[in-house]
Amino acid sequence: MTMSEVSASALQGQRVLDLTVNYAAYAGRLLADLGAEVTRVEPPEGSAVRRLGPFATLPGGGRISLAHAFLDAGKHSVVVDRRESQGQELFRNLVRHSDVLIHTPGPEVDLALVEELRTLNPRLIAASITPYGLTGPRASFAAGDLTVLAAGGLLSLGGYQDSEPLAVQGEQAQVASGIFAAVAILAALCERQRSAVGMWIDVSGQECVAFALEDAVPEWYLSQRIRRRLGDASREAGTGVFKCQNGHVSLVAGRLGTAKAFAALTRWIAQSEAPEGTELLMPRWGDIEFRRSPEGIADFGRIFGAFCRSRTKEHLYTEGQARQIAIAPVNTIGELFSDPQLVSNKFFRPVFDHGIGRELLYPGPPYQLSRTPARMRATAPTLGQHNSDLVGNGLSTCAHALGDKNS
Amino acid sequence: MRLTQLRVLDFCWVGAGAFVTRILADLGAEVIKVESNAHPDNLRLSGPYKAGAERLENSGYFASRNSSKKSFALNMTNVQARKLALRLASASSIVTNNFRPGVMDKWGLGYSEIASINPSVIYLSMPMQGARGPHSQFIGFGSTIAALCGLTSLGGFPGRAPIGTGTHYPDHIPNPGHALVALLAAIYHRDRTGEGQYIELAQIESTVNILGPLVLQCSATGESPQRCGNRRLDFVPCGVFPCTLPDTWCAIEVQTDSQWRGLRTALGEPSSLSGHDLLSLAGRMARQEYIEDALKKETRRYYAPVLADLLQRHDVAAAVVNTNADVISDSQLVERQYWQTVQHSEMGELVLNVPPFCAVGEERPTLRAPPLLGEHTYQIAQELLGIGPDDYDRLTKEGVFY
Repeated sequence: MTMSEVSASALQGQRVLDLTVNYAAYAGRLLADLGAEVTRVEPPEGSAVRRLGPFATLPGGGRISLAHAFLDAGKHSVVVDRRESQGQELFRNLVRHSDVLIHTPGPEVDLALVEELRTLNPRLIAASITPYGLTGPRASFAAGDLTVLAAGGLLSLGGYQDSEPLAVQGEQAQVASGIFAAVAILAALCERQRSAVGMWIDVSGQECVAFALEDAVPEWYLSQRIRRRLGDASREAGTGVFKCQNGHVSLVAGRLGTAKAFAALTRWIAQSEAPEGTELLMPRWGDIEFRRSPEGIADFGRIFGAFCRSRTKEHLYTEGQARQIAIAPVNTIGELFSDPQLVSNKFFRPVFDHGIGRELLYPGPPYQLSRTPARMRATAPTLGQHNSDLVGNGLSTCAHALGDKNS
Repeated sequence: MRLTQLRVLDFCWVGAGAFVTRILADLGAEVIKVESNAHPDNLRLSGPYKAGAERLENSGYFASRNSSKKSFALNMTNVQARKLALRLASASSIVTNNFRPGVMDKWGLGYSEIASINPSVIYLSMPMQGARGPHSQFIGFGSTIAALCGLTSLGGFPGRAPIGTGTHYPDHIPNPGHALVALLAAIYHRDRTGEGQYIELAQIESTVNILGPLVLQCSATGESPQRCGNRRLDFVPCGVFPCTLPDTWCAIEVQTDSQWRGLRTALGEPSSLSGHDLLSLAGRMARQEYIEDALKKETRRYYAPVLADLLQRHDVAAAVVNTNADVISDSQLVERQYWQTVQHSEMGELVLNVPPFCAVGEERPTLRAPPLLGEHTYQIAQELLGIGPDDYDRLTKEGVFY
C-alpha cells in the first residue's frame, strides 16, 4: 500500500484547557496525541489526577500516580491559583485564547462559570463530563465509577451467577466518558468551522455506559426478558471462558454466524482422542436449541473442559485460530508484553520516566492515521512545568499570578 | 450537533464497526451500508428477535447498531458489483470496513485504489489485530478481544474464573469510540486542508489503551493487577450490596470519611458500624470484610431505589444496579430523552438510544429506523449511479443487486 505523506498534526494550533479530575482526563490525552496543545490548569496543590491510583513506589520513598502518567501524557501544566483574583484574571485570559475547555464535576468549575466563560469567548467549545449529565433529576447526584456503571446497566451483566454484580477495573465509566467527550469535541470543532460558534457539550457517564448493553435492551423490549449475569457459565455450547492447563481461554464458536467454526471445533476435539471427544460429532450438536439447553451447555463444558485441561492457552490459541475458530487466551496485563502480535508490531514503547529513574512501557496509540499520526508527545508534565510559557506568550504579565510554585 | 455533507460507504458489519457508522448516521451523515442476501450481516441472524417478523428483518440486535443507515444490497462476490462499489466509493467522503486484512483489496477496494480516483477520501479499516504481524489473520469477537487484551482478567474474584464485563465490551465502547475520534480528527483535517487519509484501528491496540494506567503499573512494578471483585485500594467500603427483593442491588462508594459518617446517619447509626476505629480510612481498610458483612445486613432492609435515594440525601455515592429493564424506564435517562421510540415496518416499535452526548440547548438527534436489507438499493442505484429502471431490473436478475 502506498501511504500518503505525513502532514501536520490534525489538531495543530488548537488550544485545550483541561480541568478534569478523574479518568475522564483521557479525553484531553486523546486530543494531545492528535496534536492539540492541551494545558492542565492546576491549583497550587496539583490536579487531583496526580493523586489517583494505581501508584508506583519511588526508589527514594514516595509514590507516583500512573493514572497521571498515562492520562496526562503530552499535556502542559500551568499552576493558576484561582482562589486569588490575579489567578482568576489569568484563567480568563487563558480562556480567551483557547478553543476548548474540558471539565469534570468539582469545586473547581461550576456551571455558572462555564456560562460566563462562553460569553467571554463565544468560539470556546466547553465540554462538561459528569456522571449523569447536566440536566435531569439526578444531575447533581454523588457518584464514583462503580455507581455510574450500576446506573448505566452494565454492572448488572457482570459477575458470577452466585455473586453480586461485579465490575471490571480501570474506572471504565470515566474512560468511556472521556472517549465520547473527545468524539463530541471533535464533532463540535468540525461544526465550528462553519458556524464560528463553540457549543457546550454535555457528556453523561450513565449514557456512555448504557451504550454498552449489547443485546440486553432489545432483549427486554422484544422479549421482556431480564438478562442475568452469567459469570463463567456459558450462554451457549461453544461460547465462554474455559480453564486450561496454564490459565483460561475465551471462545466464540457457533454464535454470531460462526456455524463453520463450531463444526471445525468439534472435528478438532474428536480427532484429538480427548475423552468423549467423538460425542460432539453426534447430530444433536447441529441443533442450536440443544446447544442452548442446560444439558448441551453442561455436556459441551465437560468435554471441552477435559480437552483444554491438557493443553496450554498458547497452544489452544494458535491451533484454534489455524482452524478458523475465534479463540483467544485470557491474558493478564503482564502477558500483553510478550504477545507475539503486539511485540511484532512494536506496540509498547519504552519511555524513560524521570521519577522512577528507568523506562516504562507505554501502549502505542489506539489508531494509526497515515497523514496526521497520533502519538504521545511527551511524558506527563511536572506541576507548573509550563508556567514560563504563559509569561512568554504574553498571557500573564505578572508571574506571581501563576501560583505559589512560581512566585 | 450535526455531521452534514458526509457520505459514508460502509462495509462494516457485526460488532464494533457497525457502531461507528451508526453514530455518524445518527448525527446526520448519509451512511450507505453495503450488505447482501448472499452474505447478510451476522447480526441480522442473531437474536433477540421480534416474534412473527420476517427473517433477516427481525433482529433487535441488528436494529440496535444500524439506526439511521441506508441499506444497499450488493453481492460483492459478483465482479460487476465490485465495479459499482468502486463508483460509489469515488462519490463518498468516507469508506469504512472491519474485515480481515486483504478482503477489501481482493475486491479492488483497497485504500490506494479508491484514493487514486478519490484523493480526499478518508478510509477506515478496523482489523482485529492490525494489517501486519503474525496474527493479522486471526479472528475474534468482542469477548475474545477482551480476553486477549487483559480486560477479562480484571473482572471477577481472586481465585475464581476471570469473567470481565460479561459482554463483548470492546465492540461497544473502546473500538467504536476510538474509531470515531480518529475519523472526526481526519474529517477536521480534511475540512482545513482538503487532504484525505488512511486510518487503521487495530482493535487489540485500541482496547489495550483503556487499560493504560494498569499497563504502566505492571511495567513499573513487574506485577499484573489482580482481580479484586468490586473492592478498591483507595476507599472502603466500595461494593454492591443486596436489597430486599431477590437479586436487587445497590452500588455504594464511600470515598471520604464524611461520606462514611453520612452513610451511618442515613442508616440510623447501626451499632455494627459505630466503631470509632471505622471513622478513618485506615481503620476501614483494616476491617474491610467486617464492614461489608455488617453493611449487607443493613442494606437488606431496604428496597434498592429507596436505599439509593436515602444515601444520596446524605451525599453518599449510591445507585441502583439497573437491569436491562430498569434502564429503559430510568427517570434520568428518560428525562434526558436518551431512549427514542422508532417505528420499523417489520418489527413495529423499537427502543433505541441516541449518542451518549449532546449539546446544551439543542434537541437530541432524531433517529431513523434501521434499514430493511436492500431498502435503498433502487434509490442509490438511480441517484448515485445513474442506473435506470431497465438496467436496475437486469442487474437484479443477474444477481448483482441481491
